[in-house]
Amino acid sequence: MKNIYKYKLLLIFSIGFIIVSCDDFLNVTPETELTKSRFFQNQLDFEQAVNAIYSPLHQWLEGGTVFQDGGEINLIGMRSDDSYFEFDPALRGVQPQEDIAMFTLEVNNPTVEGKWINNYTIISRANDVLYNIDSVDFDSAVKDNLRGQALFLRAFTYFDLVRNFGGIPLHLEPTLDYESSFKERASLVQVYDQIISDAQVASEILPSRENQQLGRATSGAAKALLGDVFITLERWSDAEEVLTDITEMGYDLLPDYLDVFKPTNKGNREIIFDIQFQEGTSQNLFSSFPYRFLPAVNSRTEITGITPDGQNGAGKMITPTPEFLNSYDDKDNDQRYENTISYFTGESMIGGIIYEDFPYVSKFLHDHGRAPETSQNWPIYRYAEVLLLLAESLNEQGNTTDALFYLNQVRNRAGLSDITNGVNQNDLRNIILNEQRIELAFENKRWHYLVRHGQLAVSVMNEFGENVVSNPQNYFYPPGNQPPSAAFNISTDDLLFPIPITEIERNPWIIQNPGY
Amino acid sequence: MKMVVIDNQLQVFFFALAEDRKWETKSRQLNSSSFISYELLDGLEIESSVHLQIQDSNNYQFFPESTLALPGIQQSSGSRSNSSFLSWTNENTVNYLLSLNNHQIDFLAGFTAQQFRSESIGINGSQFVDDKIQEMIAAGQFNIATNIQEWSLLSYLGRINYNYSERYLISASFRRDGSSRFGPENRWGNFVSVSGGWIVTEENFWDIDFISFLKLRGSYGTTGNFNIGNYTHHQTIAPSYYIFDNSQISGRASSNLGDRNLTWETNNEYNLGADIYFLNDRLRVTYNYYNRDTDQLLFDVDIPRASGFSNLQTNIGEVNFWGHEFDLQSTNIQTSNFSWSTNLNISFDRNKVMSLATPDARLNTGWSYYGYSTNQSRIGHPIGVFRGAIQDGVYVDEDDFNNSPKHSSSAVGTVKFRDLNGDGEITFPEDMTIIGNPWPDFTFGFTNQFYIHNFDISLNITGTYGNDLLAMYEFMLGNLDGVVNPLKDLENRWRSPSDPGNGRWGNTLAGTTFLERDRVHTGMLHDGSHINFKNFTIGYTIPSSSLFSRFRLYLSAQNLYILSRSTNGTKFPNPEVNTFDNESNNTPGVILNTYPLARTFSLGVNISF
Repeated sequence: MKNIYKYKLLLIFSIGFIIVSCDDFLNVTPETELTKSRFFQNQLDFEQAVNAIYSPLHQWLEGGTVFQDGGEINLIGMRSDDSYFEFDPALRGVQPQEDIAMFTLEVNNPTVEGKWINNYTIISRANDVLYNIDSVDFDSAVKDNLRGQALFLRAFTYFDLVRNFGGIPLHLEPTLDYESSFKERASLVQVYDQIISDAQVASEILPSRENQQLGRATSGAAKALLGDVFITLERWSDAEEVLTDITEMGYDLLPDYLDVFKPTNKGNREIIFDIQFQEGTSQNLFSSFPYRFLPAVNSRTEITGITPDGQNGAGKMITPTPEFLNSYDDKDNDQRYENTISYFTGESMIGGIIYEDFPYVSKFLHDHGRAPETSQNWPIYRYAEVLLLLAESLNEQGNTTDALFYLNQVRNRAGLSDITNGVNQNDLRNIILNEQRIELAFENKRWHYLVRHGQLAVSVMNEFGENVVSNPQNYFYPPGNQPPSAAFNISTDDLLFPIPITEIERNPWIIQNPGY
Repeated sequence: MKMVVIDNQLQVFFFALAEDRKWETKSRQLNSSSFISYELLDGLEIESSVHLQIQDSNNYQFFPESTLALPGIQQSSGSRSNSSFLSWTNENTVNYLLSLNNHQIDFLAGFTAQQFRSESIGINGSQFVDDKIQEMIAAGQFNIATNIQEWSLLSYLGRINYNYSERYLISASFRRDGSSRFGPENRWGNFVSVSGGWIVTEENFWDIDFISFLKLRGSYGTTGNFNIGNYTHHQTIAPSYYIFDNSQISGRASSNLGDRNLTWETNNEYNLGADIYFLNDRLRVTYNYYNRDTDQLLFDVDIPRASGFSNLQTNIGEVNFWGHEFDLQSTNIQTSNFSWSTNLNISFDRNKVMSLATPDARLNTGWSYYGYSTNQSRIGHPIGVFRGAIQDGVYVDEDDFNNSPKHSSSAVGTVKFRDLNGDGEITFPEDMTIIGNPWPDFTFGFTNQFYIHNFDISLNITGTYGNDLLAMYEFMLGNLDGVVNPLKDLENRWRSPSDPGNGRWGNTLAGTTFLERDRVHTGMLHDGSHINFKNFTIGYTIPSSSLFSRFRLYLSAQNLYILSRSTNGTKFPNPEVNTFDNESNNTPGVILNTYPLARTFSLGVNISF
């Protein structure tokens, strides 16, 4: 008996020893997640990595990163004289969204924080690709395409950060440890130099529209971004050069304004770069932003015709203002008017309100299956904007004749007659600005256009503010309500957003923007 | 949702809701231990044991449309998941006992291996057409998630115990542990400990009669902590999706910034203590002083979002814990029909942050409230102290308003904060500072036990002194704006310059009330010192008979009464929140959703046959 025990003991001991001598016993790797050491090794890995750089664009647009993050739609869409929100005295939880429109932002605003987070997520993914792509060999044309897309998206997001926040930390390599996650704010010059350099390389190595998969960045997109940047920096001749290049790349204006936006027309020749959405996907990659532009109706079915559906709690933030409606010179002939704006009569979900011919933005509302899941794409750059920016850059250089040539193309498509020669530079500047306002209505361009005209943003918004404060019922406040006294006291400090306080709490090297 | 009329009001029929919504969990567990030991030689024993734990659990949930708030618009949803794990430990030791005259030496050497592995799969189903088939197969859309977790640990250990004639005791041990949770370069930790004791009363020279037992002891030891995720040191890549060519295409991107240098958190602790018993062991006093230094604290630290990531699990900083603990036990009276004994324990615990990544670093923990965290750790202060603004009442009248620093939203009658940086304005975070300490000056427990004939009575009292509590629920129950069931103290709010109230609450003017509840401040800070009559039990034991060997009936009350320094006439729902756990650095001392302590009465019987 004793012998049996002895052998059993020896057996257990030796099993124990075998386990102990195997180093592998302590090498445990995740089986449901991929580790970085096994990634970035071949072409397929880099293709997947570049696909992932685009993914945060959905949250960038629609929000949802932190609680009450309204995304780009709210942050820039709510901040201009084109739109204002409907005030519901019973629902005060939306105060952080309303702060955007009233210029009463605090440093902990969730939508501002969301923009910061989403942009830097895209940047860190692009940095990962750019850092690792040269150490692996594969087809150079494919590699250029992938590198170009990463560079474009990095330039695009840094441009979004710098024009909204000012100088920001410039991360150009992936963060690998605790210390390297801390960076100070770079200067405007440093950031813009990097943006221009990235966008220029991208414009040279990216394929053209016909040779690129739908949804990806193209050389046209990179040039459009460059044009936007040069205009913002008032480098008019550089802008003219790169924007003129785009006119020779096969883009065109569609005869029907609304066709540009229809999901059935995706990839049409007027779109240069847009954010892609699709309903019916297993990862829920649909867009809901068209509903944000609808009023706070009690039954969305009355507008969309889709059942089952309920109230529009998500809407009411971006309502067309009287100022915007009056900017159309010729409502009868301008096909953009009826294609951008519609009117609704019916019940509101706001207590006691019945809408009568209430205006709302309908240009993004097209057929879809379920509420609120649409396949609507969000245009970032389209050919009409390029033509108008070209006109602007030419006008600023004193060349009103050529400026008119491009301006009139856009007007003619809309159904309007030409502006004839003989108009002076200053008048043409205002005409172009108004044309930009109408053509690119509710595509989140108006605020940036006002800001790059410097003091114009301050004076236009202060005047707008005075109108809202003196006539709140014209600006969707129910009787007996009005904006708080702190609203609309705008100075140049308000042209930038505050750096999110959660970032400053994490990184004490970051200095807040003045005025916050 | 099914509705029912109660008291002429249409209400949700909660019983139907509870019946119709399905949530079932089943689990089966097997624990097994077996060991073999063999005496090789006289005093030399070899032992090997295996402990096994196997568990399998299922969870099923289904929420039919009829139980949802908006039937017709919301659709049924459900899930089914299954997870199982296997955990085993194998210990192998060699033990040798040597006895020589009055010397006794005990050697132990061995190694242990431990492994845990779990596999789970879950299906979330949604978009069911109707509630006829309440299983995932009828779902219109489903998501599947799988998870595999595994960790392993290998340890070598050795220990020597020596005692000389039960008078001098020395013990020393050594461990070497390797954990799979760290990278190959940082995997192993070496830990030693040594302790000694001297039972003075065994000495020949001891002749103080009323001290019947005196033992002096001391120890020093290092231990390690590997309490992090199984794969945290790896940088991981997760899937991510977008639309190209109007179809969903998948991609991959970094999801976790792993720290390759992640290693053991170590504790160096030394203890000094004494056990003194008086009067034939009738009064026993135990004292212990400890000083523990925790280095390379394993912490999930927030990093700047500009890096593309939100946090990093890493080793950061050093914290020192120290304290004095006293325990007194006395048998006051002992006769055949009546006895009374008492136990008092009291401990004074302190902690201090010694270092962080940089001298100015602030580790933010607790609740992140509108962007600012409730607790913060800084060098030179205890962990997780409260951080907020200082309230100086309200702006009582026009004069007060004009002569005091203001926030951009301030008005006469709203909350007034103190201007800490002297710039004449109230801004954040500049006008926030450390406002309180969640750690008590001391905690105590006091128990008295009586036996009178067949009755037994015991009363246990516990309490703390000197700790602050942050009553975060005041932002909800002190909400001056909207339809709320508020604290009674809101009667004392500011109504006008001639009726300014007690200075804690401002006025209810719409649009001005958010500041006093959206920032943590001293108004929400209260004294957490309290005494809790934690347990009071009376029992009666019937003398044994042929039917049963023991029959005891008892009545007991838990949390019978709590004495606390309530302010505003409010009693806290639970003053015991997080005060006894020195290492809970998440939300020490914050009362938000803490469930109130219940006063419980129970009646019971103990019967043995």
